[in-house]
Amino acid sequence: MLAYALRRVLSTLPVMAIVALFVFSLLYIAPGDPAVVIAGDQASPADVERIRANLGLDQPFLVQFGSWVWRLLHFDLGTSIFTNLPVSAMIAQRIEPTLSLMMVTLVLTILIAVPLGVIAAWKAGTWIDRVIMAFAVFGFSVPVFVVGYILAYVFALKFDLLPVQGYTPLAQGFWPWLQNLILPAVALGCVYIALIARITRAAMLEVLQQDYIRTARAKGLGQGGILFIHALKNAAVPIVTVVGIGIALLIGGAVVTESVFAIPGLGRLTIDAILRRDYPVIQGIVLLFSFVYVLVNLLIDVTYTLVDPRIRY
Amino acid sequence: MTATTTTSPPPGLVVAPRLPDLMAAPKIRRGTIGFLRNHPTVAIGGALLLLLVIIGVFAPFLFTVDPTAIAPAKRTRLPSADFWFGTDALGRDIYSRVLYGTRVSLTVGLAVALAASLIGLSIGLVAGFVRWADGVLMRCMDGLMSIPPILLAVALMALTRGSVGNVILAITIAEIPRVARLVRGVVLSLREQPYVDGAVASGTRTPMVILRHILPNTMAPMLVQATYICASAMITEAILSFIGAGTPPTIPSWGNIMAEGRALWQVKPYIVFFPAAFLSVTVLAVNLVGDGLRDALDPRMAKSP
Amino acid sequence: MDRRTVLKGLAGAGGLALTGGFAAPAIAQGAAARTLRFVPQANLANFDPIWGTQYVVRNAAAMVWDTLYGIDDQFVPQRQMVESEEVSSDGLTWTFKLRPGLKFHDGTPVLAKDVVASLTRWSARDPMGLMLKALQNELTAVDDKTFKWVLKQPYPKMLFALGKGNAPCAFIMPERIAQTDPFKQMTEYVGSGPFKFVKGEWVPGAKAVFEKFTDYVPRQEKPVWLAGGKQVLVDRVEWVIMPDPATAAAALQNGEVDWWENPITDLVPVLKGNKNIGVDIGDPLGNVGAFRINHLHAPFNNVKARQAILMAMSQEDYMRALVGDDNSLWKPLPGFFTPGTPLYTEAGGEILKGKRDLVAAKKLLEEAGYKGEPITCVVAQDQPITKAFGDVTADLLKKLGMNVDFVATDWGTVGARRAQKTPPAQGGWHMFHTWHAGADCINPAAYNALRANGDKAWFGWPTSEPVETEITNWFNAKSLDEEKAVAARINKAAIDDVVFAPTGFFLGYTAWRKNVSGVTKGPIPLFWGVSKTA
Repeated sequence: MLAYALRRVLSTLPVMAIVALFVFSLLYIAPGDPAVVIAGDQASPADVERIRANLGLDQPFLVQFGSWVWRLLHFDLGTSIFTNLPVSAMIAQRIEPTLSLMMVTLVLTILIAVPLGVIAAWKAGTWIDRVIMAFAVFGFSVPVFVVGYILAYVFALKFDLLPVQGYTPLAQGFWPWLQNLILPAVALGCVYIALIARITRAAMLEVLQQDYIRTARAKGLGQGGILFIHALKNAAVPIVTVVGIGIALLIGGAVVTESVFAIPGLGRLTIDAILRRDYPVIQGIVLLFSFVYVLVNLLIDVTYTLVDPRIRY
Repeated sequence: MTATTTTSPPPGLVVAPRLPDLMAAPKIRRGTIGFLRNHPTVAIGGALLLLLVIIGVFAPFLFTVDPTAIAPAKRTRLPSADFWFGTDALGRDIYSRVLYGTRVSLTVGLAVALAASLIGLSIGLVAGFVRWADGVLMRCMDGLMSIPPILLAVALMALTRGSVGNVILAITIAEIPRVARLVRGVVLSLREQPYVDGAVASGTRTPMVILRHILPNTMAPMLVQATYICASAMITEAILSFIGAGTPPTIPSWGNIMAEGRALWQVKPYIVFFPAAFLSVTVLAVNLVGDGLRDALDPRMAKSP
Repeated sequence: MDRRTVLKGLAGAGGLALTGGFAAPAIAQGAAARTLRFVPQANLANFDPIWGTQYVVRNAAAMVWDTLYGIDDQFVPQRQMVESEEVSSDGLTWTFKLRPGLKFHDGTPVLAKDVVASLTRWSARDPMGLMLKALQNELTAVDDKTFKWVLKQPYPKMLFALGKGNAPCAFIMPERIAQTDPFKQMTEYVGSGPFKFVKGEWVPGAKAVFEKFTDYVPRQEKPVWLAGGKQVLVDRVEWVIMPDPATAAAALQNGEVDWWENPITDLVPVLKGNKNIGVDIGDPLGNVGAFRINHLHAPFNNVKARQAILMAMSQEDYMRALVGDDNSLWKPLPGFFTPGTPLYTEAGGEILKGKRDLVAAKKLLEEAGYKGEPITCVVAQDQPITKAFGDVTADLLKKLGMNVDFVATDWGTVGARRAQKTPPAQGGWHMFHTWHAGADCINPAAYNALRANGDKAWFGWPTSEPVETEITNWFNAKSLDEEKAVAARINKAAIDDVVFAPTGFFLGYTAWRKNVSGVTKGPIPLFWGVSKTA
């Protein structure tokens, strides 16, 4: 098990190397130029040229890439061209909001979607099932920013229940922290809730046909006990899988959600960095994303072995 | 053993979500009409899509005006008899823009689904059959998959310019790995089947094996996957245009109509509402078709009572 | 293991990651009433006001760094850090004396050597500074409080150069920081202005924090723009960056922020309807919209093609696309200088007035030899102003029967592409849009965009002998009447040769919660004199 995990971690290195090279080349051939953004509209072309030289952006591709990799091997992600802050520090500032948003979304999703899916499966074919599934298909079809605007309008402006924007660090208390995250998490979670509810229903339907559920039923276990203990446990593999796939979905959605709700997270940092051509920051973030993605997939594989003893590596 | 070299791929990374038919399908009917009657979701979704295609194709004849003609004197008008969906911040007719926008969304959705399926299919087949290429290809796919599609698209847009072609390219690149993994998984599991094994052992050439045994079995899951890709591509297009990295403003698309109206949602909500409603209905239609097809094509479902 | 263990494990991992992210410093509690939360026009992405010259950097820098002089609302430079100045009768030697009590945020006193180093770095980057540098014999510290600047030729605009609010401003920094290469970013943000920059709480793209500098000694005069006493009445100013204007509007309505620098016009009626919100014009000098045309390539290397654009363009369309229905927010601009300022003139501007003549414009295009070649128009989609201008231009070119190659991209790309002199088909361009703060267009001093010295001119590289001659005359002008006469000639020459096409003059609102008082009009948001009650 441990050896397997170790091998998996090692096998991610080439993946991340490919991502790094890919992103670096993409940025190198991209036409934008951070020097002109810095210099502003009053600067002369000669000024821009000198700023570019000072940033080392006039160096050939291999030299730039080489020095970046060299620093990376010393665990140095470099320094932002614009803010002059270390990239690692900028990412660290932004991780908490994004991670919080994702965690709350995930928890919210599981709290809503799994019971919905279980109920739909239990009541399969009835109107309850159809309403839930209709909601699920609909949730899939509405863009995240539309949901965000509607939520902000209703809950923040009309009824003044929750703040419209911003982020409060968890260190300042659980409720202030949660308050700022509820609306964005619901907006972001919509697609996700729809997806997980559908998967849960499908997996449960399959499991409910199995013999041991009939046995449990015959033994007189209560309906709830059967559903949530026996059946759900066995339906866990596909659910966990989709939770994992959804991480990529979440990262994408977070970019939009963070701008709509003005949350100072990684998504906004990424867009800002791309629009300004802050190369070291973009590279650092993409590397982080691919690392997280690989890590999540690893976690999921490990989770399989826990929820389903038949799977062994 | 790493997950990517196991003969059976890690569960779930490959399989599209499965869902039993929403409606009971008591009798098996034959023919296209029969198929649609057996699978009403496909029928409903298909009809909606057909309607949207008609709207897109015949947009110029559906009482529209030039969707790009600006008229700052008539800006932000409420929906009325003159402007059915109102006008936007530049005085352009939203009804016309939304109808023309249908073309962009459908083009993006279909083109991405088609391109991603074909390229993903080729890569998946190669990875499934050529052992030495498998590792390299799947590593690359892992890499691509780990970059969120939206970031990839924003970077590509910055690389060249905003255009429908680039939007398609960016979303396609992001979707290819999913198809490739699906196909590779199917290939690997089929290769274990006795009849494929037999065909290979009896000296049938690989292209023939692929043509006869592999492709027919890949079609069903791929078709289902393609509908989901189509739906998610349309949403992604909207999001890209929304953050200013998608379709250029000279071509009306639902995404950029919403992007232009977003700042005004508090005072002029209709600017966002109409394109959002069209987008939702379209995505809904594609999803209905996808769900229906999956139920119809998934052999496992055939067995369930 | 069972499901519960898995869930616990997951939750544990999440909790661990969360606590790991607690680097964010705690905000001082209970000081809400003394903290002013401000939504700026753009993100503060870097903070070296000499190295980077975006407007937003300048606005933040004016809180942290002080200047020797500051202009007032009549554009007259008034003493700020300086107590007295003296100029020799030949106009060549300037001697300045600093006022007492000046201190940097690190506690050290402001000395003449700090000023000398700061002016040296500034004069390597600023257009007026560069002129001074070219005329300079020596710039030295005489003693701790006195420094002198000896020139080869008189420079009548000396005090304006030192006090102007146009970026880069002549901000005074400690010598050790000012010694940074002017083309490299400095890493310490220590000034002697009324606010301290809290670097530890700076989250670029989200937040920037400024604290009152308690040792700051304001002047006794009434504050007017950058002149006079900078009295700070709050403990903290927090800049909250909001990428989405709809969110900023909602936050202001909800009382989550106190002051929004530039609300978009269409939302102003909602803000005005809220009894807790005050709205007024922010910067009375407004902005000048600019439609730049590349003078190097056909068809626009022919003046007739450029005139065709002036003849056909409707400034009203550009302005309405931007500011909406509010007529008090824009003015047609048949010229280049800021309306309402002394040098404003409409001399030669007839071509921009009256009914737009598409037929005559098409004929001019034909005479210029235009035969339907694609016209490359690069438009930044991430800036609302350039985006609106681009949409109108696309429509205009279509009406003119021109074949438009519309390159929709972001500001970073436009910035790089506009520097390309190659033909449009090979990575160059025909047209792009931008805008200049009205404060930069009050006279030719900081108005790079008006220069027409060919290769050395601003992007578009216009060449116009008459414009250049008159600009030199302006720098040597000794009276306002003389300046006005020169400005009229500059204006006419610049329109005749179409240095660029002005798209109009526009103003913007600013909005604040009513519990904030002291918000005044000015070329930049002014934080001194602003107070807040709970």
